[in-house]
Amino acid sequence: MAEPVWFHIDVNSAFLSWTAAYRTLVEGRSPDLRDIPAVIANDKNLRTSIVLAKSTPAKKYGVKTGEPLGMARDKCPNLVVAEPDYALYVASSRRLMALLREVSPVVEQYSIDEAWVDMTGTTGLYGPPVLAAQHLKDRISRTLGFTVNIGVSCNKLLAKMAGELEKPDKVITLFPQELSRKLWPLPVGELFMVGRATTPKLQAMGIRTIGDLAKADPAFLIRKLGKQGGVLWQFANGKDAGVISSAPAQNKGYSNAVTTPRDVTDFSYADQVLLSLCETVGTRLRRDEQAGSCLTIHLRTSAFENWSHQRQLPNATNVTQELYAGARELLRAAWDGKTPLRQIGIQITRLSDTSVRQASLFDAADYEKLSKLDKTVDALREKYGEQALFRAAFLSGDTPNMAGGLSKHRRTGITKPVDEPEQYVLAHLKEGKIKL
Amino acid sequence: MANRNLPVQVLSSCNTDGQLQPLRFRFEDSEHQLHTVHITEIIDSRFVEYVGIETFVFLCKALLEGAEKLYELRYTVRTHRWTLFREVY
Repeated sequence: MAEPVWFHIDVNSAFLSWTAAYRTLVEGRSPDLRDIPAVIANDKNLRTSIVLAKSTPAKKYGVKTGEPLGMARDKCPNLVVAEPDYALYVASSRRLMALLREVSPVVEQYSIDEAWVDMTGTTGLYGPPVLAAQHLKDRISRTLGFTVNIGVSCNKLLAKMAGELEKPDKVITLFPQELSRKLWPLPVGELFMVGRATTPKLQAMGIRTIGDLAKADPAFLIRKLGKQGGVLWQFANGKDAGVISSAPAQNKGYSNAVTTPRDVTDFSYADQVLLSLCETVGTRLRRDEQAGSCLTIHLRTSAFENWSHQRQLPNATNVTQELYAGARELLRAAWDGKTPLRQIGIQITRLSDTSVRQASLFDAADYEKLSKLDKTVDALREKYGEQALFRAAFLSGDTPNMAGGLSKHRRTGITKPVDEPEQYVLAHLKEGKIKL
Repeated sequence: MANRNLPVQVLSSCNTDGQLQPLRFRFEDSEHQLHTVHITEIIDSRFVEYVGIETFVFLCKALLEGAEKLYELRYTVRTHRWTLFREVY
């Protein structure tokens, strides 16, 4: 049996690379965005615009992905801003995945710009893994015009971690015998699946590096963090625990947030925004036949302070009206009605499926009726569009009746694997959204 | 010289095996005069797919008002459009 070999392929600052390659190689324009401080962001609305991707020179100015465009401009006054072109990104991603499938039959797409490729037993075809990876990396940049990182190891986890070690345009190995040298000195927050929530918890236990985590007692970790503790310990020791799969995991919660066109300074405006967010979250919950019982609201003030407040609902629900009632109460508990807010979000967690509902003595309204109403509204919107039917509350003001989330033309194929890119691209060609 | 990527009109022939060959093209210059260029020789042709966009690239020799010229023409499969990508000399 051949030893297992996995590649993890990750496009270097994907959106920026794709736009830059399009401009230089297809349109023949210069300079290359990759060589100057540049970001991909929607320039039309400075207030809500965030940095989607940055070039390496922009990174040197301290520009971060996800920060407001205004902030990035403050750090780097001569920053070049390019508009995102989602149709192009879908086309690039699709061609990359097709190329990978030519190399190996087992390609697991993880996101629009990342995939794992099983290279087990291909030494006879392409040579030893590191040479094969270098060849593949060069082939991608030569034929598609953008650079990738390839992580090489014996499992998916280590291959992914390897690809993160150094950028851009690199082939990096991380085999188990290299763990102590390459992986363990890194801060624990760099480990796959260790995010903003887990890092402080681990640090409080005196675990600062991935090495500390690897040497910790797994029983202790499980006691402190539950099942996740055991998984993380395995990750730190280079075992992927069989949990990394390309099948999308079930949602743990549903949330939507919106940065308002102007600051929110009174309850009537805030309520309108909340209602529109409840519509969006409610629709998504109902589409997936889920209901949630833990409601959270997130508020961001104009000074970029973040507040949140949560409560347990008496019953799991996906009814817009009930979500809204809960959100209103939370808002009044969390906010004074004066401090200017720039972003409002709601989140629903503790999901359960909708087949059963605990009857409650305290149901304020007729649940059955409201549920039926929502179903009808969803069906109408599905058929005639989101604007087909909306609450009278949205007649005045500039709040859309369903706020948050991606705008319609960006909703497909961006964060999830691209299923039917052909239809997507065709639809855009018809609408004239693709500029070739 | 700088790349132009200018949309142009093209007369081309297409083989039974799908091979494409530009014969003549017409472009508008910066003084808005139209020029028809007869291609005398295709020096090089290749297929590229940068960022997933399938394109045929042709390096074409031509005579324009008695002078030899070298142009790079490009044909984009998805949009069925020809462009004069650059004038090499």
